[in-house]
Amino acid sequence: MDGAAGPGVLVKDLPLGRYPLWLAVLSVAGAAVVITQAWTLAGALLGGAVLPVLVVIAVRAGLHFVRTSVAAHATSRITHVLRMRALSSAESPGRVATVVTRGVDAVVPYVTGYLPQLAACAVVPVAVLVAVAVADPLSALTIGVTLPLIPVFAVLVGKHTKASTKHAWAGTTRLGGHFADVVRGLDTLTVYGRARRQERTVRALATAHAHATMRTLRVAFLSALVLELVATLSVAMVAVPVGLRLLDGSIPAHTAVFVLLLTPEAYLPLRAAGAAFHASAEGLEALPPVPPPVTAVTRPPDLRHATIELDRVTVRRGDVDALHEVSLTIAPGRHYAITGPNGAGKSTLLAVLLGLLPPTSGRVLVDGVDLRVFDHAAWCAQLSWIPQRPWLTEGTVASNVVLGRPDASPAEVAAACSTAHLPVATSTPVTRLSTGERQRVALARALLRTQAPLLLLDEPTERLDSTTEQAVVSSLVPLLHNRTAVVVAHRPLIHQALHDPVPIHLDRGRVALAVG
Amino acid sequence: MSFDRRLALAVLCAAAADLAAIGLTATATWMIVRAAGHPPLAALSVAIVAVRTLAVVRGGLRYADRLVGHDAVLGKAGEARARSYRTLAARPHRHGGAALAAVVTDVNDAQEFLLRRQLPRLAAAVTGGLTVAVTAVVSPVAGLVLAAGLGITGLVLPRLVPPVPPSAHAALSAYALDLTRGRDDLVVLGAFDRHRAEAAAVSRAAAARQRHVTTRASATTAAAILVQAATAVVVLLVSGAGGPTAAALALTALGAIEVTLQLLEPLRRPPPLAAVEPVPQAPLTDELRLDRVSARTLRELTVTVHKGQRIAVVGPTGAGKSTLLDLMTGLLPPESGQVTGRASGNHDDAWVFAAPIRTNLRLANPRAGDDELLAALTTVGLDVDLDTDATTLSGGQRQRLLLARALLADPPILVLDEPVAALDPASADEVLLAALEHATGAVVLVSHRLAALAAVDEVLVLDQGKIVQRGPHTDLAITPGPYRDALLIEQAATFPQATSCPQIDAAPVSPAQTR
Repeated sequence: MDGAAGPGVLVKDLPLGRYPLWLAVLSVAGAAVVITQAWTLAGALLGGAVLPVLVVIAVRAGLHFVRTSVAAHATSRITHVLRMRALSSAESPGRVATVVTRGVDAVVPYVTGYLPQLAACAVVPVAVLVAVAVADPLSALTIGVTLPLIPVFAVLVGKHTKASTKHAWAGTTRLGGHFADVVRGLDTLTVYGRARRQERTVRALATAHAHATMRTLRVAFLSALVLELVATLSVAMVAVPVGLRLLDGSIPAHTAVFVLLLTPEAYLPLRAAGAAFHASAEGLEALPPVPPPVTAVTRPPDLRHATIELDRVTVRRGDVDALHEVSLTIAPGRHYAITGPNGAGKSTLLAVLLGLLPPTSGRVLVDGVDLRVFDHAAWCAQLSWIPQRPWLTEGTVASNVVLGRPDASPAEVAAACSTAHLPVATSTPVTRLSTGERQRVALARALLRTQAPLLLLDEPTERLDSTTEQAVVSSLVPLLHNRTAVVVAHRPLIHQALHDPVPIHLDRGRVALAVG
Repeated sequence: MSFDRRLALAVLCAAAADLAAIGLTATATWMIVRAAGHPPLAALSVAIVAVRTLAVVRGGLRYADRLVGHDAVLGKAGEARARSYRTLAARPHRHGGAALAAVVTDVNDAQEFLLRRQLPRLAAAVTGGLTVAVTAVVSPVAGLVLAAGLGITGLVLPRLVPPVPPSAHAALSAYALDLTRGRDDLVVLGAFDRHRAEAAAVSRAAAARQRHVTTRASATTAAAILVQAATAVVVLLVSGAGGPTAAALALTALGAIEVTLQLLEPLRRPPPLAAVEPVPQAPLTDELRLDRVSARTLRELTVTVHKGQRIAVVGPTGAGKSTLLDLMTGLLPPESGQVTGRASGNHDDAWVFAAPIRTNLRLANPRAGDDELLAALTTVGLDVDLDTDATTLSGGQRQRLLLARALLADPPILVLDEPVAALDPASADEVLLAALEHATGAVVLVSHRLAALAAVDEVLVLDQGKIVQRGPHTDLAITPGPYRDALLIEQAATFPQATSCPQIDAAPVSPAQTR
């Protein structure tokens, strides 16, 4: 089978559970039903009893129900597990979004179509061959010789289609990405009066995609055609001699009809597996990789008392050092004000302290122990962070503010929002917020984490007007009191909230000035 | 070839392939059963030729059917994509992010529905009609029985199959973005695992709904198989069991009903695309008037932008500054009042496309050559290659790119919403003044930094949707009121810090402050 080489690797990775076992049992039952059906139908067609046929077909109908139900349960479990794997992986956001939706959907034909056919392939042809051999060895010989042609042809054609399938999936992703990008930027296109002109681009890309897909399909369907021709001609090679032998009476009529009805069933699973493989090939290209297991253990020391030390920390990004041999000491309870031009490494320094970005060289020591050995969740539990561009999850202001403290009461949430000078109701969907308001949702989040001893603030008042900024800064004073704070602060006003801050001036990844 | 003819051809190919398959089985069975009666060989010769011909033709017809069908459907899908986009673009107003996911899903579903339901249904109707006709010619009663069986499996049972439930794609995509792009935020907040558990619940519920539908559909198919068997047996009995003709008719019935079984597969039926009356976009003007306009937080605002005038809009967050600019660019239709004229430029949340910087800039001015593009980049102090992927820029660089794009467009009235908020104060004032110098027409600028506003003709101070103060910067700076208060706070914040800690803020004192 052409399928065996491709998905063979993946079967290991798919969380199949006992599905293969079920498929094996159902295939054996299916083979028995197919043979019995041919036998009883042959009798009925020649004027015999019809009741046995009806009974056998009723069993077949029941078997169909069981088979699809089993496949539905397996699919449901497998798609869920694959989605969760993708959501835990470190792939790019766009790719993860594609994988959890279209990517996982594309695996379904593999599970519900290809795998059952593969199981049938292993059982049904052999069973049919044996049944025909018992009834009429001559016909069995013809089947036995022609049957292996199907997989041989399938492999030959399959080799051709593999490359173009990959190409088609890449095309689909590219087109999907472009379409999404154009639609997402529609407002901008509209302002510049370019929105309607992009329709041509969308149409051109869709046409290009259709052409690419048809190129793949022409080859893919060609393999189906070849297999179908081989199967049909093989059946004809069995049927015509049987008919002629019937004429001279060298074979009983019932046997002849039985062989005629049963012969196509030998080829059917092999052909169907080939077709199902092509239908599912797209999904296999898109399977998410298995994420590595997370290892972390040691609890970090209490940051109310611990000293953090950066020891010649370098973070390399491409060809440049975002941070270059930065050495700093962050003492408990003190305030640090980071300044420097755009791209100096301010946010990178915070990311290193957050444990989100491991240094390329150098170490972050917490009371002398490397930050990397600590359980990251426990480390984060002691931090409160306002990023430069805070991410708000889908939902309301309230659902975003409580992310860092799910046990907070509505009153506490309202208080935090009010202290952050958020001028909207806590039930407002975040999609309706302006950039400045989003910034203050992040501030409210930080305010709610009252127990975090280390505050990391990245330009917390960047997008605020000076009146609001003044108000926010005064509300930061109690938050910062008696806590360690590392604050990226261009805007001078924020310094009012800092108590005797240690200035850290960064320039091109280097500490230009650090007192303390 | 037009789409409808391609579709018709696809239906005919599918029906022909089905009929060839049914004919092959029926003829082969007739031949064998007839042979059992030991007739002379000549009696079988026509059947033998027919079997061989159909065997070869069937494969070719099936290949044609698949190709022509997919070609027709892909053509249709391209149309649908373009039409969906046209519908979105028909209104020059703001759209939500959810609109995207819905459009993309609907287009994919429509393609699937056409290929796997509409085309097969038409093909099954053609196949069923012809097989009933042929059967009725041989045996009218058998024809009637087959028609009844086909009616049940092709018309009645498909109605019992529930439609596929709406996909959870929109919700899952949102979680995917939260868990990837918002990963750092969630991890530090300790909310990552909880958020992933919510995503898991959504995924599990979606899987359960899907499973329920599949099970129902599978029970319906099992019923259809029983009807198929019963029909074939009755056809066999009423047309004279034991003879070759009856055998052939019974197998014809089995085959014809088999074709209808694919109609029992559950599919999602996409909603039809709502027709949208296109709203023409107003042409750009060099004067703009808002007459007693209300929208969102703004209340009965009257503002006029004269030719070449420089206006700054300031005010606390939530005062309605971005709303005012959205009204001016036409992105937001007013709830009441009238807007005459249209401006262009950088709105709040202006988009940088996943394309080279050149493409992003040309959007604003398609005729601009590389020299002009580079000059615009120089004006805003951005030193990058035009082939750079714009999505790789840092926050500050991104903002400079947006400003360069607005300057390249150089509309008669240019709006700029916080064009330098992401820059450090030193660069912010410098870039802003350079931009004001380069814009040839009127400019409406939203800024939270007041220092550079001496360069504009008029300042509008907004608060809670109303203009609370207006006039030149120099006048407002000495008039008691919110503007003067804000200015004093900004200056107070700048100077003490600059003296106590000069190495921290290297911002040169801007021209506005030295005056």
